[in-house]
Amino acid sequence: MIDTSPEVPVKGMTLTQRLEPYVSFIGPMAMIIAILLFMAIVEPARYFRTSNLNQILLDAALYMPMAMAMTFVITQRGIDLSIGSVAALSGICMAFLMKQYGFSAPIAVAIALILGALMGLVNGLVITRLKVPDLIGTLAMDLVYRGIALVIAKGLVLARFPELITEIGRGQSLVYLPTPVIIGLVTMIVGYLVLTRTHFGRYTIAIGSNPEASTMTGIDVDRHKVYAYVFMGTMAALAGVMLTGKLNAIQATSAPYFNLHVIAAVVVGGTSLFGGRASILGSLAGVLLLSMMINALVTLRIEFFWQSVASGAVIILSVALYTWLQKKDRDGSSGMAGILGSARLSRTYKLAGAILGALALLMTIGLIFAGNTGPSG
Amino acid sequence: MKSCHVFIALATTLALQGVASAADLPLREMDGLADRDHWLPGEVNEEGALEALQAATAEVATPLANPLEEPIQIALIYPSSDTSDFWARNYLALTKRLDELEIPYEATEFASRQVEHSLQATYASQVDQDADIYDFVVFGPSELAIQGDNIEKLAKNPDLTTFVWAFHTPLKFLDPQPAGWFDFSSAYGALEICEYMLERLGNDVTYAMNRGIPGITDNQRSGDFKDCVAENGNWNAVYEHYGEYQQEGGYEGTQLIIQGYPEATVIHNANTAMAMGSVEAQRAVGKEGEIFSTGWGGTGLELDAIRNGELDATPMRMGDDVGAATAEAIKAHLEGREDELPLVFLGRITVAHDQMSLEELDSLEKEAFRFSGVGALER
Repeated sequence: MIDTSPEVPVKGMTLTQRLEPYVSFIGPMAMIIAILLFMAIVEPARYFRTSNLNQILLDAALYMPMAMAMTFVITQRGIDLSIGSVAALSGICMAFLMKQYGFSAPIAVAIALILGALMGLVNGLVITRLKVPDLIGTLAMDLVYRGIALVIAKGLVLARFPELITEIGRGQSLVYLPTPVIIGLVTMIVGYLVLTRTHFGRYTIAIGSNPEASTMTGIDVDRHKVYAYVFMGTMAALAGVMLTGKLNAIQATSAPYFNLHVIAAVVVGGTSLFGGRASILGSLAGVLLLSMMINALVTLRIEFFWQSVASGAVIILSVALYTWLQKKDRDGSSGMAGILGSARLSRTYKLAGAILGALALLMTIGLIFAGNTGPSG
Repeated sequence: MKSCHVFIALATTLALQGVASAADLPLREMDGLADRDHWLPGEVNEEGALEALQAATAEVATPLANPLEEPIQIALIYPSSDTSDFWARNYLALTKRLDELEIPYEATEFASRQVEHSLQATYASQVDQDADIYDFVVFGPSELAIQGDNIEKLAKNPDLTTFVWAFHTPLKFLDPQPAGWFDFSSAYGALEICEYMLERLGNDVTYAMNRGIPGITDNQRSGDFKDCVAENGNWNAVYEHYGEYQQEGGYEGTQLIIQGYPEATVIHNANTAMAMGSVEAQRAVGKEGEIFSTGWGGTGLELDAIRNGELDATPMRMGDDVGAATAEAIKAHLEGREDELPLVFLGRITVAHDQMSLEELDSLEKEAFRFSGVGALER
């Protein structure tokens, strides 16, 4: 557990208080255990066989480096929506260098990672120097990077790469775990060490907790924000390399939903979108949770569109469970029961009742007067 | 079905017999072979095999020679479930033809969005590891080159017979090749509509395009059309908008074309959704009668637009051919006649246009959707 809550004496603490440092991890773990229990009942043979567990880890591995780096970005109160485009552009550049210019795979991979760092640097500078808010800045840069990838590659699919690339993306040559899983876990360990053992890690928490106070204590907030985006860009590029290896192909339109998937995993893992609280292990659990859930839905042969519904529901449940376990919201009021039972919410409940009532009324009227509707034009 | 041991042995034998080795190909050489990473249908199909399957698909069904006791298991992996009814219609045509052939079946769908290549790779792995469940897998790749390794992985599995949908250019490196490729040739459709447009509108036309998503499909539908009209009629494309196969994309692109390129007298749309968006955008400014608009596919919506005078022409696919031909191929495999099948099946394409009579359009529509039904789909 890599939670950043302050250490407090254990003696005389209630169970809840003792659990508090771990709550960010408990949310996704509770959901993971729920999925495991459910699948153990309904489809144990298929879900728990080695090849399927391998598949879950392979799917999750792609997101691990990005989730680790996104934990830093979000902890600093930032967000990076450009990671899918960074991954695609890095992958495209790497592919072109190998295919068109005959670069060796290790050099091309290294260049892709540096390009990712460069794109992260540009993101950081746009945010800190041009003072464009993170959300808008990275959204705009997402368009820029995707556009450049399309300018370079157009509709071209670049495929069939050297062994090193496919080894990074889907290799099984290591003894117990697939190569991308090892890469993903190593990035998580590196992220843990950076967060807990370096000045950058501590400054990240401090900046997210209170940027103004951090500035006053002498931390160069802007510089450390740039560092976080460079880190993010590099990890997105690594994910681009892994994706290229996984599919043994890359295209400018690849990786369209990386940002939403990674942000969801990080938030589910207990890292606060309001900054100041990070959990690398929680992010790992979040990534695993999303992969396990999608795999479970496919194993159960549930229709594709329900995957979106289920993903949203699991994210809400995980974060709600986390909030409930915390027994307080950001205003310091009591937990979920208190939030839902608050007298202040009575007007909201009335509004909800009015909306549902209006919906029911209109549905009834619509059914009574249902008939043929003529199209316009 | 997989529980029947006799059939397992039979299916395995058939699957092994059904796969074509890359070493056997090409059967004959065509122009540009060395420059391509894929075969053309004419290079890999046995003489007369395509025509025979097209004929079998168009004829009244002949039931399976030896009825099965248990249903066959089909895994169906396909993209763009969010934007197109193409897959749903193929699926209906496949299953209805299987019903007519008296082949009992159970199908499991693995759907994704068009650009979710990674998710499709996951699906392919899951079907591969569940080969003890499935007899046949029908794979509609999100992009052919990207899913090439996954097609090969499935084709290598001796417990599965793999068919590829929506592509007709077998990649040379696949070894073994899947048991069959079923598609409409977008390149052929582009040439058909090009020929028709040149004949009707003549040379030196200024036009614009609502293209789809950069990739092989758009390169054929839009790129081949562009090359053909430029080469044979000196047409000039003033603007190419990438509308991502979405109705909004077609609407937006057409608005831009009308405002920025009023000299464009033709708008070529790369799919139905964009054609419908384009028609709406023209209608919104009262230009529907002034611009010559094309669609792609000849779906019910496009034909309605042609009847209403809003769309002018479209390369029309006999939509249910792909699904029905796949059912016929399954039957051939079950009867041990897979050697009679072409490696690549192409459905029929003809140009539907606003100068046809209503009866002609109705007749084409009935033939195209003889299994999935004319009008909106009911699933």
